Amino acid sequence: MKSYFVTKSSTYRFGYASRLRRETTARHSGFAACLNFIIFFIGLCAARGQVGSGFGFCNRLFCMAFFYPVLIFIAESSSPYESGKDFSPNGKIDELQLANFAKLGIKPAKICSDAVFLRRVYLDVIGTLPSANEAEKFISDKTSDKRAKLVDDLLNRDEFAKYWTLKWCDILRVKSEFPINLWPNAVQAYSHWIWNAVETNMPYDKFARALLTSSGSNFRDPAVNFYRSTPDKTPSGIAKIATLAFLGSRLQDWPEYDRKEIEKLFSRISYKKTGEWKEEIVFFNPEPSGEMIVDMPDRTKLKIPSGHDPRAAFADWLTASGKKWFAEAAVNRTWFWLFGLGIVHEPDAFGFHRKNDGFLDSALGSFIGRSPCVNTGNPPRNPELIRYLADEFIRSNYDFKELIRMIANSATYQQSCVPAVEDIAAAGKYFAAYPVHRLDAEVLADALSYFAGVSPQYMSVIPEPFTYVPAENRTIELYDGSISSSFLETFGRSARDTGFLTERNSQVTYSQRLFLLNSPIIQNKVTNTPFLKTIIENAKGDSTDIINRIYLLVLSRYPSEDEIEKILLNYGEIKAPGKGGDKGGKKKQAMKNANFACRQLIWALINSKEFIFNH
Amino acid sequence: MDELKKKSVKYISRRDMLKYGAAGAAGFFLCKLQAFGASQAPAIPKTKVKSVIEIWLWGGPSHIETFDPKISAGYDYDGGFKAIPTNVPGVEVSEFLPNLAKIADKYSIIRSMTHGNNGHETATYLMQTGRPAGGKVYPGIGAVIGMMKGYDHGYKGKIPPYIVLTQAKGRFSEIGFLNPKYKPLVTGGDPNAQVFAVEGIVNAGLTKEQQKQNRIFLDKLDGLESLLAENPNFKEFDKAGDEAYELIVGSAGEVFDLNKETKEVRGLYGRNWFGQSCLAARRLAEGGVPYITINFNGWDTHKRHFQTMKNKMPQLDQGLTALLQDLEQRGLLDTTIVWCSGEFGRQPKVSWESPWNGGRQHHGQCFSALVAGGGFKGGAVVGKSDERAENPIERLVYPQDFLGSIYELAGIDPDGAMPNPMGEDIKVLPPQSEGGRLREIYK
Repeated sequence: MKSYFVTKSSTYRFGYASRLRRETTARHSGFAACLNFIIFFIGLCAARGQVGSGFGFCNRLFCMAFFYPVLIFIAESSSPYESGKDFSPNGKIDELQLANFAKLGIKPAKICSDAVFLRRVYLDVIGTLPSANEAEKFISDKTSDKRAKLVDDLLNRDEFAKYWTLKWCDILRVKSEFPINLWPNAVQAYSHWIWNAVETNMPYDKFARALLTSSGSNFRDPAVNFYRSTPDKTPSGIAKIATLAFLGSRLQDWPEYDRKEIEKLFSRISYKKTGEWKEEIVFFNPEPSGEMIVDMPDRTKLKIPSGHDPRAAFADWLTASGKKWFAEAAVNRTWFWLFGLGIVHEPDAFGFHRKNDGFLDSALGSFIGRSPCVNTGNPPRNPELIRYLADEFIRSNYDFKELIRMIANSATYQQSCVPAVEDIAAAGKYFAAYPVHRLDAEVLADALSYFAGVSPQYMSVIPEPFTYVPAENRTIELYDGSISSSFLETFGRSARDTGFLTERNSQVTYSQRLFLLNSPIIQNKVTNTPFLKTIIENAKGDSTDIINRIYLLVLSRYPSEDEIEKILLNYGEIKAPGKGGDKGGKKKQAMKNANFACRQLIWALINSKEFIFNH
Repeated sequence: MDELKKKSVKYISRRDMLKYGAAGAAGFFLCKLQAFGASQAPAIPKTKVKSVIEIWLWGGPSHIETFDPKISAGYDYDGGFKAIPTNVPGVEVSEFLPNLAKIADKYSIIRSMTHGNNGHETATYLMQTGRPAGGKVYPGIGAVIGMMKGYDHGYKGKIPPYIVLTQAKGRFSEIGFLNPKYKPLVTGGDPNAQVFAVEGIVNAGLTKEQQKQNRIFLDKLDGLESLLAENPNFKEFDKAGDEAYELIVGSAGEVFDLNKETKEVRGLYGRNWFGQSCLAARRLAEGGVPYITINFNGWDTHKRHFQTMKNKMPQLDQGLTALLQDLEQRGLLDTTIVWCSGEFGRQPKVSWESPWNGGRQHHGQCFSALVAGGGFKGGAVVGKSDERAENPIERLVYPQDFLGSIYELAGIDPDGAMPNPMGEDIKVLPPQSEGGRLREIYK
């Protein structure tokens, strides 16, 4: 017996449950043991293995079902993180995943709760925490397609283009200085061009072609900065960034023959200065003349007539015989950006070996028809899945938003982070649970600013001319990787030296913990949060309400019964004094106490794993 | 979130960078080529060295007003300031260093430092990594020593092996391609303040008991933990938390409590940011921390150079003198290397004209550095510059030679392998130049 009462909103359960609990404390404690016992049996009958195993909270929820006639017998949740729904395929992605699970003998996790989905999809798609209001609204929304609607809404928000531009800026190496010298003007032009491409959802084949075939001034033809954003401007250096960006593959790992061949395509790029300060022209140099023949890794021979730009031939190849590779690299990177883990992982290390007999051995499976398909090196974790995604991506005319929509709506993406199988390593590797990953440095900086009610402010005095970032800009819009920030450094933003995705680091280090646990900066943010006053005053003396609001603000969910109990145990009642009655001094003291407890709570929640990790 | 924005470091224009940059780079590569023919270095001496203290004069300090005074060059070069004798016969330093002049037997001076690069970042990169900028981003010496003399190599201290007082150099990642765990602990705060509030470690508002209570509450509330305890990301998070709390509530953090020193000692170092940073560095060296950097900024004196010197030099003179003397008195000078330099020197010819009004521009062609302790002899002078301190004329010392000497005396083979996450064959340093490392001043 499965229960799919998604419409039973969490507000309902958490909010009312806790209120109810206060009213019925005596009864509850009196009946609790007995009721829990009954519920336990119902749980067992419903084949819900985890009920009762350590989740007193869950049992209490069942109790609520009795007390509160509107609630339905079988509540859907065993924790704030799960919806209670089992994995049920929602499209081809999920079917392919289930097929893979069957092969591997593992099971998918349950579907995550609405609150978790909300926070997850906000963070993954727009790099932004939901506001408390947004969280409340979504959780209480009872329509059945609310998740799909949310995905659509997010894809249309301004933050979507801002956040995905930031990601592209990592791999397209956007920074003014050291060791890549784009200079601030060119960084502006380049990043704006990228932003515009994301904002208008430029088809990816066009995006790649525009970058690859660009010529002109670094200030007026922004895409040429693709060829300037590397310290190594030799054909070999440029071939490296081109294969990394568009084939997700590291040229240095290629067999020498293939490396040399592909380097030819980038041997006719020239650079020249102009009279304008720091302006540079990138152009195709037709010399030396003569036909160029390039033997591509799939053994296609590109014939480039004299006077033709070989870069265009490469762009043609990417969308012709190389298109599966091109598309697989793109969908895999997108998958990585959503899950923190690629189907091929590292996501920019698509394997490529040529065997002694001259045949191609590719991690891409059968993409190259003429070659044997042995997965060596770095095989995809689900070859059918990556192939399917790439086919769909090509079919959609290289539409990134469509791709993200498809993934975000899958049950695979909407799984809980709690694996259903013992083998957590396998679950993690094969997406049989949502892989937890730490928030990006920029996203975290914005979230903390949001709590503090201030705007992040960045500036850089070098290189000249000085850069002042407008105060209202979010950190996820900080497109110049040279703008110094010890916070962003500490939390592992990309150095943008090489374009490798691994340059962005999501490890947790002691210095990050020190900062969040105990730095005056965090203390000030928590102390000065403008939300606190409103929360305490609006609660009108109701502790639970205050705690609910703080949880919504920081973790975008309601607290569980257990959590409320623990907090009250620690601080007693957290509430502002009611109107009238009390003497001034007492009132002041009560307000002070409430403030203190709330700040402590916010501090603790900011330092929880649940906050730091997208789960 | 203005606190989150960059910790500003003072930088000034370097338009003259291009003028010199090319020549310098050419010199660098030339020397690299020659180096391939250099004879095989003898084995690394066994080292007693536990710590290295780097005093980094950010911006490029004038070599003329520090360790390479020129009495004969004239007013347009010395601005009317003179050399003074030291306690080592024949060795003179600038009159701005009266205290260091009295202990010249404790340190050695290199007057023929050169790399020819006049850009702050690129020159800093050279002086920190021993390599020219471009291609891979290599780690600086602090990160490398922090790694190669750190936790994987017997260091057992609770304080991280690489500490930066008090602001990072910024601009380029000091760890280069190394794993972020080798990043320095950057203290923040002001060691001269009533409480040296080391960012994240010392919290003036909370007692240790309160901190412990808070931690208990924190652990209680972490709901996701119970469900995913075995998750490797979570384990990493917990380990990082244990390390952080060790610093917050453990005794290790006390090394930063300068109030544990007597008033007299604090006074000897000078009651200013630099002096007290030197004192903090001594305490850290005493605790065995492998690498300590003091980033002392404000040396980029394009304008009004001499006025700035009058303000800054007494602090440098007093702090560095106190540090060397204190280390010696405590028997730590043999186990601690102290080095002091900036990314380059300053143009010997003074720019008297507007807008500089008596400034000095960048000069990577020739500059000076100081080394002391840890197996370096005292009282020696290495190399020589021309009569205007514009070019080195004897015994050229390139960044890789200079850094190589520090590595070598610290027990790390500069020609040996540097572990790296790419698993590539990377040496600690590029080959030494023709002149080679500073073996003439090894004890």
